[in-house]
Amino acid sequence: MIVDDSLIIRNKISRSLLVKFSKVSRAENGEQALKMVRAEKPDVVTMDLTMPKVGGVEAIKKMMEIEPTIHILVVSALADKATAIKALTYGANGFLCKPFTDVELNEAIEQILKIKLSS
Amino acid sequence: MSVIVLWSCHLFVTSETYFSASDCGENLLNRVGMFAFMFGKYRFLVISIALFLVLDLGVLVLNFYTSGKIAEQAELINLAGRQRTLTQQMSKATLYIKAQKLQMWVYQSGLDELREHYKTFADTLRVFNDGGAIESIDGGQPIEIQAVVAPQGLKILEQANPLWKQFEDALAPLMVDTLVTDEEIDPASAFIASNNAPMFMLMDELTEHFKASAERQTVFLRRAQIVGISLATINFFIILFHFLKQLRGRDLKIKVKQNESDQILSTIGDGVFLLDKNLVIGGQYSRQLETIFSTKRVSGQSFKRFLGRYFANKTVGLSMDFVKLYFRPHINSALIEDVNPLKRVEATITTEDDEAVQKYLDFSFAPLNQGAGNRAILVTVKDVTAQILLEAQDEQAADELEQQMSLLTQILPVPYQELDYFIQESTQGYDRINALLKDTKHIADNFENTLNKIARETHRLKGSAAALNLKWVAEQHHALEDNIEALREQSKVKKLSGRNLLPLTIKLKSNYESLELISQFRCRLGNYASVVGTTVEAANDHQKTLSGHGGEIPEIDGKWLSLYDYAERLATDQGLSLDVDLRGFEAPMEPTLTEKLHPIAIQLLRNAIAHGIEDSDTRCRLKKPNNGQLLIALSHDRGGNYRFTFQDDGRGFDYAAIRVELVSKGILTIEQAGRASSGDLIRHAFMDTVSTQLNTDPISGRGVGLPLVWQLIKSIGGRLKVRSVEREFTHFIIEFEHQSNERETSTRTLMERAG
Amino acid sequence: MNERAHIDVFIDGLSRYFNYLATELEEPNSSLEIGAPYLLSTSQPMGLDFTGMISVSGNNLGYIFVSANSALLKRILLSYGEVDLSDMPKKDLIGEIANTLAGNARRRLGADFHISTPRVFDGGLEPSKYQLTSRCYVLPFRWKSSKAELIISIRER
Repeated sequence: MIVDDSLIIRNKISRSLLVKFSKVSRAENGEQALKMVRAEKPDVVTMDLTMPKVGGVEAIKKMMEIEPTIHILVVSALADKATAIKALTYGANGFLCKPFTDVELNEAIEQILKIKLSS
Repeated sequence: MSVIVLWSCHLFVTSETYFSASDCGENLLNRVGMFAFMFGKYRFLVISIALFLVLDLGVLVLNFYTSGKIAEQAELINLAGRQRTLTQQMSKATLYIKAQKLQMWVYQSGLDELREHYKTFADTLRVFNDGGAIESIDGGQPIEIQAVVAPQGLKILEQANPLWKQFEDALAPLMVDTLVTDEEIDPASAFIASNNAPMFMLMDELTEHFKASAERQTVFLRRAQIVGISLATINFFIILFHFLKQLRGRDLKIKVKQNESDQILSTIGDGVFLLDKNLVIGGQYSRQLETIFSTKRVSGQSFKRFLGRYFANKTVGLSMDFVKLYFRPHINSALIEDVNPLKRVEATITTEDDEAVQKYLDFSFAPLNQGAGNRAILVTVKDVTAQILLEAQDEQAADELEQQMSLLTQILPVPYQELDYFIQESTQGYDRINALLKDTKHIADNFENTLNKIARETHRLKGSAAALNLKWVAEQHHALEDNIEALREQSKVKKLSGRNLLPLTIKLKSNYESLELISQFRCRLGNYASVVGTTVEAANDHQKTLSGHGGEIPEIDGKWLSLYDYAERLATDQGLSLDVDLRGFEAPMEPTLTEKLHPIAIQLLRNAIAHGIEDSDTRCRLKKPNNGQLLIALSHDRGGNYRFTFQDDGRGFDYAAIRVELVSKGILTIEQAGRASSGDLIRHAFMDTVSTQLNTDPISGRGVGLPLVWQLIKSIGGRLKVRSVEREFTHFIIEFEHQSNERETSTRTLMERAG
Repeated sequence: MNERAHIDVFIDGLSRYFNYLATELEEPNSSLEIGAPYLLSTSQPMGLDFTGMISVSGNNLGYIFVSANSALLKRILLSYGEVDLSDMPKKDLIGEIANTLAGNARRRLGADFHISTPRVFDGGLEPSKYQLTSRCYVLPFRWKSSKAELIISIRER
């Protein structure tokens, strides 16, 4: 599942992920993302941090409550390291800096999936 | 025995503590891991210890078994011994009964005794033969006895059994009732007397036999113990020696490794150390770390406090949160390097000489799995100060290059003559400013006057630069003006020192340098120009594009022609539209004449656009043509008397605004301002720095435009007439003399003006 | 550090020296008056009667000259109670001032500046002898109405 408020980024990530994953869903803010996590239980979430409505950090916190075994990759620009660190502390598994290439994204997703999460 | 067991326990304890150095043993998985670990590397040791235990246990079991046997044997000896005694006691009891009976005394106690002995003997013998329970000698407790199986014992029993049979037959009549007849006692007594000794002998032999057998078992046990203990001891020493050897080897290896790592750590170029899971700095770190941080307080320090010495609290907090991520199992450490807050961070480090030094540092973190689920972080610190400063320099150089490039593109369209003139004019202007600075004897006295002069000079140069569309230079002049303005403000508050002027001088120097740069470009461009002849083409272009400016197009001098462009640029910037009419500037113009008039034209043009011409809406309301109408004309009487006219149909002088400005600057009182005629007000506008514009920008609006015009008119010995009707127009008419044979005009100051 | 900061360091050094004179010699009114700094092109003569020179190398290249007229040095010597007012002690004195400047600069400017030991010569300086920037800063000073100048020519390498 892709969570990003930018349509361009959503398209870019989904193009690149459709090679590996059978289903890729998209959300444009944290609120929408949480609804979709409840409904679809995705394996991996790529998450932007600065979004309208429910922001990235808040969304990660809540996602971990709903689905403790979900894999989350933060995909964000490096404007605010403090927010990124907070997101990782709350349960995100890794960080990918925008802008990124398809190869970087796929490698990051692979790395994320290596982590076995216990509930 | 117990000592050995204790040793082995002790051994176990030692080995356990040895393992526990790398073991936290918190969960079963770890334990399993540990066992696998033990059976791998320490197989020999474990087997030896197991063997030792088996030997110990064997001896113990044997000891237990044999001592049981010995105890049983002792019982047998006792029992056999009792049989011996019983034989005699039975004989004694028989004799006693016979004697008592003979004297007609009571024999009852003798009979009871005989019967009891008889029964005990019979029971014991039966147990010897068949095994079974029997009362022991001392406690009367029943004990279990095995049937005698040893051949020698059996042989004795074979003799004893028939003999006892005869005893039974002989004693049987005495066992029936309480009355003993002579016929009953006599044969029994006679039999016992004759057979007592053989039975005693047999029982004695049996006792001896049991004793010998007990002796043999004791000897066997002792030997077995000696062998067992010996084996265990040998095994113990083997373990000990093997273990010591291994330990020594390990120590040696550790020592070698230690030396190696010490060597590595002292020669490594970066600061390297380990952080444990409590985020405490480890004991081993590279010497470079001490150099980077100018401290020896490193090992055992909490990372947080260590960072706290060099970084702001916010950075430290963020860094601690970041480092903790490496210990979180859900984090993929390969994917968090990007958010490392300790990348190229500026640290304030106090050196040994108590001097604070700024350094740029680069921290990188690598998690190390130390086995058994333990984790540490290898931290590498690089001093990247030099690198960053180098980059900053490169960046600065790139900036400069970019500026130069933009300067170049700005210079390219400027015709060479104009550029030459501009360079010359600017250099002279800077020289004048510099001279003003140099001639300042006492800054405290009347420095404001000097500042005003410098401001005017700068403003003029700014105008020239803007006229040539040399934005970069114009901006520099604008910055210089900002400086002057700031100084003016300061001078109102406090006494200025030469030090306050330093920024001004530095700016001036950089302006000189820019001019030199332009000059260099000019030289190079000149080389190309001589080949191509761009000037002519450029001029032709201008004339083509300007074909809309009324019927016949006179061939206007290049420098004056550029006024069209300048006017249009300024007007567009202000959102205005203009029609400019230039008359009397047909080429070729005398350069000296142009030199005199061009700066004046530029200042008046700027003034007209900034303050005069209204926007389209206003003009429409006032029934004026949509485009502002500007006429710039030059005429002469062929006798060297010239008339330069500048007309606009703008809003004219805003007398009310000038009054307000003069009062607010403290030049006039309210009363004076009220009385002042329009002519007085215009005079003030030319004499004092008055600006009715609120915002300053590179075009105008510092209130130095008109005083500058007056300065310029004075410098060519001209006379100025101003006609202005509010909301209608402004006409500036300047009359002056000019000798066309390029001789300098004699500077006659004609202070005549009309309101 | 920018040009301004560099120049400030040298002005500070000079002020420091004269402040020291003011307190040491108990002449509190003898403050140093700093004049308007201006530029001097290398084609013009520079300096006054006696000049001390510090050269700068490292990331920045150039020279700092401190030049004073004879009267100023004489006044200072008199304040010290010196009786010999010939050229020799004056040269020593300008050397001492230059030394103070150099020391102060070494301490304040650090690694970017390698500062030489000062050299002293009679008269002003001949710009052609040195590799100067095309325009040098001249900071005129007055002490008890006698003149001194700080001439600064530094460029980044």
